[in-house]
Amino acid sequence: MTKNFKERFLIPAFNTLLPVISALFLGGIIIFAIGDNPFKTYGVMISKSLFTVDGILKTLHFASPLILTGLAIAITFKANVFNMGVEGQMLLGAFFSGVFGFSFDLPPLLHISLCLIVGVITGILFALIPAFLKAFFKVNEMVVTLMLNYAAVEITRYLAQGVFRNPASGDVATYTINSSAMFNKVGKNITAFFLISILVFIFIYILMKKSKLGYEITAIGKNEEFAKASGMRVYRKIIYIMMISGGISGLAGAGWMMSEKYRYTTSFSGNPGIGWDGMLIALLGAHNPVGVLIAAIFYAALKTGSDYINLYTNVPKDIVGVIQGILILFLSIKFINDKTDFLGRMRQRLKSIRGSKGATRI
Amino acid sequence: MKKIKLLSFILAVLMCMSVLVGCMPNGNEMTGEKTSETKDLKVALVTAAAGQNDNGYNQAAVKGLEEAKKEFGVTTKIVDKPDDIPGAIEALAADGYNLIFTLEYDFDALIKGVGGKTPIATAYPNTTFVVFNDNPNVDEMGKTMHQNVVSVLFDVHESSFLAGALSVLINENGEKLFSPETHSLTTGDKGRKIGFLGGTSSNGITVFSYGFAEGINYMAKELSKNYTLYTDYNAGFVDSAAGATKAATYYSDGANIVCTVAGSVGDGVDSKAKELKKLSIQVDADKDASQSGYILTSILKNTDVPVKEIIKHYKNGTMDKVKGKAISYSLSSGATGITNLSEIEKSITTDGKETFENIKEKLKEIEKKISDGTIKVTNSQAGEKIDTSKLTNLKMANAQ
Repeated sequence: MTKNFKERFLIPAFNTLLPVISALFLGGIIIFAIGDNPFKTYGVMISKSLFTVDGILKTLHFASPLILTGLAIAITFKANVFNMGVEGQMLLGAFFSGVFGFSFDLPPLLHISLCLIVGVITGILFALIPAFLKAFFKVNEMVVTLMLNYAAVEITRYLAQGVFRNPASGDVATYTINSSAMFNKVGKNITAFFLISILVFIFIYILMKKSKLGYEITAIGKNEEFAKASGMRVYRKIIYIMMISGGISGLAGAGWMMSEKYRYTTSFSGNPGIGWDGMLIALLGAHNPVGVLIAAIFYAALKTGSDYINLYTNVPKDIVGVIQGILILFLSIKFINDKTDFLGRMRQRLKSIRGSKGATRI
Repeated sequence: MKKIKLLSFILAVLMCMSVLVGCMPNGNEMTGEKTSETKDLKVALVTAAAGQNDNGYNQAAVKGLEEAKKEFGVTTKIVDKPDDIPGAIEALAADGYNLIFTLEYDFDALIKGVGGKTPIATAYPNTTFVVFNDNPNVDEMGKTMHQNVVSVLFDVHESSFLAGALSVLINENGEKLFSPETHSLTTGDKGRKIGFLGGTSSNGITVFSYGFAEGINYMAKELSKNYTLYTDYNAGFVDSAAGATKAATYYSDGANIVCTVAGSVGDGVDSKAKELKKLSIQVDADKDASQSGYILTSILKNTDVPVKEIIKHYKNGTMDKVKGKAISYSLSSGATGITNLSEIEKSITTDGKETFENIKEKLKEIEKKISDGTIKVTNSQAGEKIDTSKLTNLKMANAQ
């Protein structure tokens, strides 16, 4: 039991927390170097974004789309399929849910549901392109999905500049969605979109941990050839996985449109985009739904925290960008190590060198 | 087992965070010491996505704020490009800031209120909010919505007109003004082309290009020449390498001057101009010195002028003059215009000095005509459309 506990929980938790703590530590050194107190800065960041009512609600609100994009990526990574196109699927989902949002006038519940469904369907359709290419022509899905992001950015920009342009706006922007399509803010920030994210999280948790498809996803991820040999229809499963991933991405965009942005502008997703953030979150959460949930909230706290740093200290908010950058670096080391075990090999190498030294000494 | 796993995961995260929180010596006290220092006026500035070191639009506003701080002794706070602009504005208002400038194009939460929330301007009636580049503070009937919102607009169409006229004057006298060693300008009809690169197709960009086009046409008509204007509104705001490539095609096609309204893309165009010994026109801040001799001029949007002026109004208790209004800063206010051309003058040959002085005189004349209304420039920001049929001496190569 204890050994099991240690192997199944403590070691992965340590592996996940180590990059976070190291990144915060290095960030602290940088804050110190520019002449500020790192404890004060982190204190403001964490206490304001997690330990005040407004702060935690805002953090959860910002976490809502990140949970979804994180899950969308985690589910494909688990199967060793790399859907790098979450950003594009999210943008298109957001755009078309926005179009339905300002084009119709319906009762709120109906309107919101319609827009969410439009977002999901758009995401699925856009994800089907790389899925079919992968399944029928064995085109590498990583390249296709990655490049399609840029296609999505350009398509939405073209549409926002042309047909759906709000001429009254000085910026490139579509019309604001009708109030019947807006999620109502509860208190200062949070909306029902957070609940939807949590429901999707529960659904994905059950799907990945308890369902047959979840088992198949893990099997495909561990060894695709074996999965094929044991009779799984691997490519059909890959199409399913991509559809789920695309649908969740589209939902993330639609929800963010209806709970925060209300209209499409070229800076809808921020920088880095919600989809790219999702990738980091999936890595940080080790492709595990619970891990993704926690990582998304942590990441959202960093994001809202950076605004609070801006407001209440003299440290430039770019420090959070630095911390995120270091975090990505550490996480990629962890990711590469998971895939290639180079640390283990290095250890063995050292051992053999030490061994041979010892031998010569005798 | 599962439950334990989940629970301990959460506990571990909480523990990690509580360690950090424990370490900090009273975060609230620190914020308290800032607010306790109450002077009669607290001013905050929220910058746009380009950030406070953008060498232009945002940085100028920060400069204005800092000058006002020295001059009027106000407490200031700069919030640099927050992710959540409405959130930052609201937090500042709640924190007791009396005057909040917001440079980003994001007004919905402030003016209209979104997601069933009351507009921030209504929730904080004692705070004055200043927005830039648009007047969102009117409802569908054209009535002012909030008395505590000030909209600041720059008449950059007028300055662009000047830049356009200047371009033609320089282009026509290129051989006289510049030595062939430093500049290789295309002469004759082949060189009667001018380029314009815009970051995106919005009113905020066409306000420059329409004025620029009309300025070129005005001068071309007077000299009875025919010009072509190449426009591209898809340069984006960041990819300076792609901007340089686009500018290079214009230059190789015979254009001598390219005007860029596209954020940092302009820097790429400037260095291309230097490389090919041509000329470029910058926007927002005075960047003439960054590639001295190759930047003809900069179309200025001096955000520091309105920032300082509005703070002064507040300080003197004359806010009623601006409150609830949309203030247009015209050429004569000094908030917009073109640079004094002293950088480019360094590259003018001794033979060309006299011509250059004449050009400057001519510009002053035009400036006067704009100010007194003799010349009317299309203001795309006010929703006006350009009438291309009036551009008798200018061919727009592209539709817009």
